Amino acid sequence: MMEATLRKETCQAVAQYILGVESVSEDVSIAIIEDTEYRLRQLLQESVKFMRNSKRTKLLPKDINSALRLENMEPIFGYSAPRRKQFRVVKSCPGLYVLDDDLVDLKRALDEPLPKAPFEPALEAHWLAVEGVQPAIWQNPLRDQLKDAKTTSESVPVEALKPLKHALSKEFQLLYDHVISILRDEDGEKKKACLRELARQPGIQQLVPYFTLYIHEEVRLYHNFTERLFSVMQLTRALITNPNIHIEPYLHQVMPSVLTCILGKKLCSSWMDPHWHLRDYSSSVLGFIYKHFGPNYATLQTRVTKTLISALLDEKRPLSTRYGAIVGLVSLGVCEVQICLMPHLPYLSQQTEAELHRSDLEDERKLSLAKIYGALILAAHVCLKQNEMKGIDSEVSRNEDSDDYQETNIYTIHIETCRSFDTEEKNRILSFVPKFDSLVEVLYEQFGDSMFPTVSNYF
Amino acid sequence: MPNDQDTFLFRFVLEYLQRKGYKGAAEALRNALVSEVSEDFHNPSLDMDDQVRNFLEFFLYVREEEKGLLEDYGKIYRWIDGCLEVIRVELGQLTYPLLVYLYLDLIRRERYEESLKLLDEWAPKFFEQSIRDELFSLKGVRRKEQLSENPVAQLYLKHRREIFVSQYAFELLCDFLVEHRLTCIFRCIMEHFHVRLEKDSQVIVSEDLKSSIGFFPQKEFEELQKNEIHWKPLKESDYVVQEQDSQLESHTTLEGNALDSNEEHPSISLPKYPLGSAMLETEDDKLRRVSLGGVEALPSSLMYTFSNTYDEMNCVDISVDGSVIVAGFDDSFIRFWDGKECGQYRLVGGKPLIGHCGSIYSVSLSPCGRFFLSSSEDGTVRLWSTKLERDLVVYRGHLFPVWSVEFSPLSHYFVSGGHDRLGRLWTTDRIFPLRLFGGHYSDVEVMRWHPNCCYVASGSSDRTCRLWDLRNGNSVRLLGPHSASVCSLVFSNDGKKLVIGLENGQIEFWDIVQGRRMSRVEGHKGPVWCLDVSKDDMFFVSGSSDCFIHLWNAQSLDSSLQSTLSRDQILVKSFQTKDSAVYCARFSRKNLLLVAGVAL
Repeated sequence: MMEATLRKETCQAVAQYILGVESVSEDVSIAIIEDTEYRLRQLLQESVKFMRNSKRTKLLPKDINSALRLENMEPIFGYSAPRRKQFRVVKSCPGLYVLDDDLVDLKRALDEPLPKAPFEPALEAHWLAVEGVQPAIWQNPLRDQLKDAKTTSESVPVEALKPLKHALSKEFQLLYDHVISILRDEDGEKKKACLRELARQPGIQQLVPYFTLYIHEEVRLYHNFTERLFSVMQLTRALITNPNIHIEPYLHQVMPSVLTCILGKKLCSSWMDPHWHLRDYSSSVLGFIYKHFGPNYATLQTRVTKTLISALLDEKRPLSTRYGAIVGLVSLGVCEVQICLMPHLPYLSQQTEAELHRSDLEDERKLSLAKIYGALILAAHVCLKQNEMKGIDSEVSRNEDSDDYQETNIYTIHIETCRSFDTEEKNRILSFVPKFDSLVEVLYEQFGDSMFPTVSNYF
Repeated sequence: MPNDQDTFLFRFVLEYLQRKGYKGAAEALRNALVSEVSEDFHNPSLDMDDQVRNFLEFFLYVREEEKGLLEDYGKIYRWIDGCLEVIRVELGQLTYPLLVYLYLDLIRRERYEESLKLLDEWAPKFFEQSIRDELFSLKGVRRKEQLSENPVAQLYLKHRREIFVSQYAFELLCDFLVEHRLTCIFRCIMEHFHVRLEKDSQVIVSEDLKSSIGFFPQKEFEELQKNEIHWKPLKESDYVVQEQDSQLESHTTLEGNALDSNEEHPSISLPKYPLGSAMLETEDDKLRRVSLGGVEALPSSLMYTFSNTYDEMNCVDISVDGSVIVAGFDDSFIRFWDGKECGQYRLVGGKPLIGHCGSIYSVSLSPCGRFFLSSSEDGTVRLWSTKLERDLVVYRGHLFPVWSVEFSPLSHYFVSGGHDRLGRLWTTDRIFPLRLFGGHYSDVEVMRWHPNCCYVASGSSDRTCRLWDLRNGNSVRLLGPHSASVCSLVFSNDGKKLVIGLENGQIEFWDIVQGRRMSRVEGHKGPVWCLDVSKDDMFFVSGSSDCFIHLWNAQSLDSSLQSTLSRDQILVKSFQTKDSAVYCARFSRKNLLLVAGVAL
């Protein structure tokens, strides 16, 4: 800051190029430049006062403008856009910085839809401390993020702890009972709010073992009640997506329940129940676990894929299990689909299609077959889509955020995109990706035109 | 026949005249001397007293153009840096002001290039932020004409710098100056410094010396120190209407001192309220007040986090019961939230209040929560009603942005301070100010009421605080120098202590009765935006842009006789917010800590 000084050449350059004055004598330019510098410093001093009284620690263009107004000068417009402008270094001339000044097409700017209005300032009240102790709620910083201002110098002596009986305080017991009763009985807003809190509160760490036990028990006891299982899966999802708790030690208890909800033989009391949704939703949960904890949890990924493939290839398993295996694999990611599912795809689809065209089918079986066929198309489409737009990860993860029952249909996005294709479109894609010609050829051979526009017919 | 010494003196005078260019006078003197003195001038006697000779020789070498001023300063800087430790601390006071005065002298004599060189070479040697700020401002002065415009230069030129040194150190300095013939530096010291010799060789060596490097009007500080402060808090009878008194509000004039029954404690006339009024603490407040103290009884804290403010929110105030929250914004909007219904805060009226035509820089709620004041960039203060959801009065007086406004503890009066370097006292029922408080050299950044309503404190960006007596409008204390601009202030409820929060995160604790600093601590890593004190004077609380809230033990300040307490000795507890800069912190009447912050 101290070294910032203007040079007299600046004055001459400004005079020449901006004001059109041919020559400015040395004395004059020195006098002008010194005065300019003085004014700049004055301006800076005043604008810092505006910054300070706006309780900011960063000087903004509007502070400079306020200082200019204070000195009865015209403010400089055009720099106080909400999007912060960055100065760029000019490569050929070190020490020179410029602002990006893009040309804007006026017509296009006028035609563009208006940008979204910013949110209104909002106020939220919460406890920062209760009798000097900061409660573990998500509005407060987490314990391990706390930079304690008082640095304790003495090191904590390491002690080997004896196994302790886990004692749960009365408040936690009440909370647990309350949460469980809401999950079991309520629906709608209250349940949503409950799940939302479970997905972000750091304070429930104590309850995690109890919740995992609950999940395990519920799935074991009520594997015919689709609604109930769905609630359990929602709870699982909330717990694993909570960034503020550690659930890794309990994953081994959760995984079997999730896999059961995907692959279970009969997850319903009647075949009309929406157990397909349950399988879709559970597989999205599985996908989340697979992607987030897989890298750090040895053998998780191999165990999951093994389980799914064996379920898929076992002819004796019921159709619902095989359907679950397919959507499960799809949820794991493109790589897994290509490696594990693709080799079996032609065989599976031929078999399914052949059976589907038989006329003497029961409704239940027909629906199951259609579902499987749809899942296969989805898998194929995931591959195709991935290859088409290389590197852009837009797959299944997209519907991870939806908690809602109805929106969990894993195909929603894909069907929409499939519908938009027609034959020309398909050919266009083919021409775009000659490298994957062979893949598309294989897929096309299996599904024919139905691969693109007619997927919805089967649903 | 003149003796040897006279001869020497004559020679000296003659040379002086010649150098100064008084040719006529010199010729006349020479002629006069020639007739009387036969000796050769150029043969001075050798048996003269050594010291006198040295001194005169020294003056003989006064050249009109001191070329090597840069080297001279370097010499003295290195000499001071290398001398004994005791003396180095004493003479260390000299180095920075000397640099400033030499620089200003060079400018005054229009030797611009040298001045620039001087500053370029020596300014980087000083690291303290306050000095950097001053030097930055001074460096802008490049022409003689600008000297009169620059406030910092004016401060230095108009005031003599006081330094306190021991006899011994000063002798050493003089010897050094004479020996190395540093005439210009000697002259600069004579002209601009007021050297105070202390008998004791051990001058009080404390950090105060170091901090006083920036400008500080020492003389005024000492004069104001003599004033007496009536720090005692108000008695209940001062503001409570007795049963037989049917009048609600008595006098609104400021002259009515005689009417006050309280003789030993004269005050401005105060509004009176019946017991149980919303303005006053109720019995319930007192009964249900949480008693705090030490590490065992820490306060509970309720945090109000604002989101979606986009760096636009400038100020916020919380009512004493936490039910009303007012916030002022950059786009001249004011929003206020009401939380009377089951803890759900709703934006009153559903839309912002509009009245000002400039950024809002300060808001202050009245104790009853029914009114609030706002101050703005447009130079006005407005009074608003929370019931009517609109503004009631505009107070015009300030010419430039008003940085700070605060209701008095009993409502009715309020003070404001702003860019025009003045503080003003107002009553809500008059649209012109009752008092002007002038004396700061820079913007008045923050104003705060003394709990007994007789004084207000003002903090300024000239790195000082002042205490003003409302009865006569005089400044009664000058507190400083601080190391940075003042951002926040608070008085303890017993009226004796003043806590000052600075822009560089330091917090200073002052005893206003004695006018001395009790402690200074490195409190935060960012500017201290807010300060408050618990109702029973157990804790001070400070909040800052570094997302921390610190609780400081107010009691240990009293009990300790040490001049300085370390940070660990008085810091009781820290709360960290989740990336929210803390804008406002205050204790409710029941000692609940209310905090407002903005999510970054």
